[in-house]
Amino acid sequence: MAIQLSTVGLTKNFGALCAVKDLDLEIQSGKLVALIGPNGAGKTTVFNLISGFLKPDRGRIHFKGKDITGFKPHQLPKMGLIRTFQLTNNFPNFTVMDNVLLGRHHRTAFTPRTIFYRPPTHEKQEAMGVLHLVGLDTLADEMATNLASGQQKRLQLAVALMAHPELLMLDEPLSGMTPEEINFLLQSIKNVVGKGVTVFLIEHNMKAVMRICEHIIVLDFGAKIAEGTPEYIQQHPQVIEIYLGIDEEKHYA
Amino acid sequence: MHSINTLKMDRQITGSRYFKAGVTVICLVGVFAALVLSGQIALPALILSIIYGVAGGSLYILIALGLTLLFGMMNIIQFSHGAIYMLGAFVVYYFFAKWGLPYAVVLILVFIFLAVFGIFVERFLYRPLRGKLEAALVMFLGLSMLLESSGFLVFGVTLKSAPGVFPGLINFGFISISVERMAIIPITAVLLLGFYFLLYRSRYGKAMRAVSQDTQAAALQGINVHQIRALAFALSFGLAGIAGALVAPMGFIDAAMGARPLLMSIIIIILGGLGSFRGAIIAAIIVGVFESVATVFVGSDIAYLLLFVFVLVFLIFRPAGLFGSA
Amino acid sequence: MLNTKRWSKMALFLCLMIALGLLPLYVDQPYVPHILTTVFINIMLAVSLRCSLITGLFNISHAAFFALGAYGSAILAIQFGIPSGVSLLLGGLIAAFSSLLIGVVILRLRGIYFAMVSIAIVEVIRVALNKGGALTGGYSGLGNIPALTVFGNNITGRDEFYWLGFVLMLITIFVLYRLEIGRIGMTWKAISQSENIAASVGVNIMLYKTIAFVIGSFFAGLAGGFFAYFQGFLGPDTFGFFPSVKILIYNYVGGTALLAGPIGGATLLTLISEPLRGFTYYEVIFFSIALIAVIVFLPGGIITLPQKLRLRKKYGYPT
Repeated sequence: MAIQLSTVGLTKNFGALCAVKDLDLEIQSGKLVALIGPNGAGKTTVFNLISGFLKPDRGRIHFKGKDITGFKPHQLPKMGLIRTFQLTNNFPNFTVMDNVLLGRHHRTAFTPRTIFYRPPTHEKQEAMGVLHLVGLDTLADEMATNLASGQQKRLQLAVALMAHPELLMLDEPLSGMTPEEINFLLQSIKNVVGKGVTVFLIEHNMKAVMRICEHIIVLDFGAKIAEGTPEYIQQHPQVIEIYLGIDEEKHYA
Repeated sequence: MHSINTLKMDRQITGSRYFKAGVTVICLVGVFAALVLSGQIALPALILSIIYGVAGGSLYILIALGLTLLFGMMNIIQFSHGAIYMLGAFVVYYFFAKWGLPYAVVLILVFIFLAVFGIFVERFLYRPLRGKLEAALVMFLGLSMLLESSGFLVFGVTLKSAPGVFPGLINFGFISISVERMAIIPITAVLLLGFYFLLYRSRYGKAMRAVSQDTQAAALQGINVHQIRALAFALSFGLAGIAGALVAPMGFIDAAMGARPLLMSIIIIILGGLGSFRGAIIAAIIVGVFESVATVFVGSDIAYLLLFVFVLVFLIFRPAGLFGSA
Repeated sequence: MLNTKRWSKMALFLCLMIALGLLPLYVDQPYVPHILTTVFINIMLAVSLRCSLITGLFNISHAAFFALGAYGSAILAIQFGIPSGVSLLLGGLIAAFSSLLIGVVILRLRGIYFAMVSIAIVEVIRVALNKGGALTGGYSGLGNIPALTVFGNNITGRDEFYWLGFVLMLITIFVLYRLEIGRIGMTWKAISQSENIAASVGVNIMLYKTIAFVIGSFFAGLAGGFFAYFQGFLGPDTFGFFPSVKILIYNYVGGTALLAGPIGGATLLTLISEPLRGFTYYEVIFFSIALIAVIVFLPGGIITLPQKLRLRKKYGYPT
């Protein structure tokens, strides 16, 4: 299996606060990998660093063999790296359809046809296809801001899929979803991985993560403290410690 | 959302910032020393302009504090603050210069009138906008134009002036300072103290800080956000009005007098960091002194340009300002 | 979409255009075509500013590029003897090129900083034109603007300026309408809603902001060149902070949701404020009251009025 994404010595400081400390990670293509850790561990910072929204203080990032350290965020989708965001979900004043059409941006050639005319039918058909995958095709003309939060997350996934990712980085895709939606989304993610896309996600929903992920990386205070299969992680003493706490008497005795 | 940095939060991250501010001050002192020693400027003139600069800076503090408070409340810069300053001066013109009321009384009247106006603006002009930022920006822009041109209409085009309140000069050996100008500093200090107590030692102040940090959370705690905002408006408008009232006896009054101080105050809060009171105060003094000294040298227009350039360059290296959060 | 609603809107539009086009033939006194020509210029300015606004740029410098186009065309014709018709186009290009240089520096600034620097830009340019000496005529303005000749036709009469202005306005509206409909317009609107998401799907934010800024400035410059010949002389105080704000007001009073917004806003405000032109304070008071009233009572702008009235009729007045 080829190594699709790797970081070496990735470090980011915000003033005196070390958000990411010397992180080395490798993600093989076609795998479903999760990045977990308590709040404030630096997970979204890692995403921001990899996807170009933040510049690392030290370290290098390689994607598909190329050094992408310091690349601007808009240069990465062309290479196949797409990320979603935890908070700002979608374009609120656009319809669902328009949101998804935007996902096509880096794949759209700029011809007089695309510049001066409304989006062509084949683009819209493609969008409907993706919307069908996430179950939002009936809501295509709805304003994104009118959707329920679970639907907005699905829309986010649709937009990302429209961009034809090779590595899909999802930041908390399951937050705010009902159990049915979670099942549906997990199935969608598995389908996506089945098509050869690598999925790298941040999640707090441990049950879901343990259920579908093949590989888990655990972060705490910016440093990687464990990495491995779900079974291995579940038994790892340090992981248990950071999630469940420690017996203070024993620790500080 | 930008929040007003509380003094406590500042202490955690101010280590290097005080250092940087200190370095800036030392550089400035060095520049001044060099200028004096090379004969470019006489020491008395330099000291005088620095002191007047501090007085000017104090005025800016009054305006900038209001701007910062409102920025914390609304996330935008309230463009009509300069017009408020102008209105304060005009109240002094009518009540003090024309109708002869005692100055102290007029100062209180200024605060009351402008505070009431602030409440009016919040209730009828800002509240209906439901927090839309662009609409609010545009609305305040419109308000500033309205106030200024109405000012010309009502007050006329000719420059007015008010008689001095504190006559005389203080002599410190080789320099003599006009008391009128110096009086600004203690008055501002008193107001600053009052402002501090209101904001950090009273329930209303706490409420204001809460609203500026997270409006929803504040509302959930039972704080009437609208009322608190109105209070913030009243306070800011009052302070700006007093700044105008303090300046009135010193120079000329006309309807456009607020434009320049507003621009300077905007530069100040950007320099100090949007949302930081501490930054606003320090930046106001720096800008006041810089303006005063540079005007002696190169004239006020070029001083203005220099200041602009300096702040622009500063922003490139430190976009958050002295004490701001990016 | 071949639905009747769209076709009937188009038909209405076409009728209006034909009526406007034939107007000078049936109206004798020169005042009406003159003021309508001014309306056309203001429409060009308002619509071209829209490019920046829908990209999320609070651009208060638009009048600066209007000025650059005006002075550029005039100076090219006077000092360099360039044929007037060509100088019109070149005026637009000068404005566009300057906006490119300026934009590269200021477009990277965040929201409010950008707004304030744009105020600085327009004022600096105004002051520079004031101090331009013989080149720009300084405070007293630039006269001696030669007659306009386009494709061999002399444009001298009221009617002829009217038609040329009409054509230029139509070109502006047409081009910017199609841009807004297509990918570029959609990308601009996306940037104004969330730069992060846009970047995550491959949008080069800086590039698109620059395109919006430059294209808008080009049409402002074009309008400026036309204005120079139309008015016959240029005074630097026609361009500055307040004229820029006026163009913003055309957009906000008209409405920012549709292209019809700036068109309607410019038309309405120009026509209504016409008797006030020259009485500076009254004009400013009028514009500012109009702005505040619309912002507070009709936040979407005037174009939302028909929709609101329709809904009120249907569902009654809110209690």
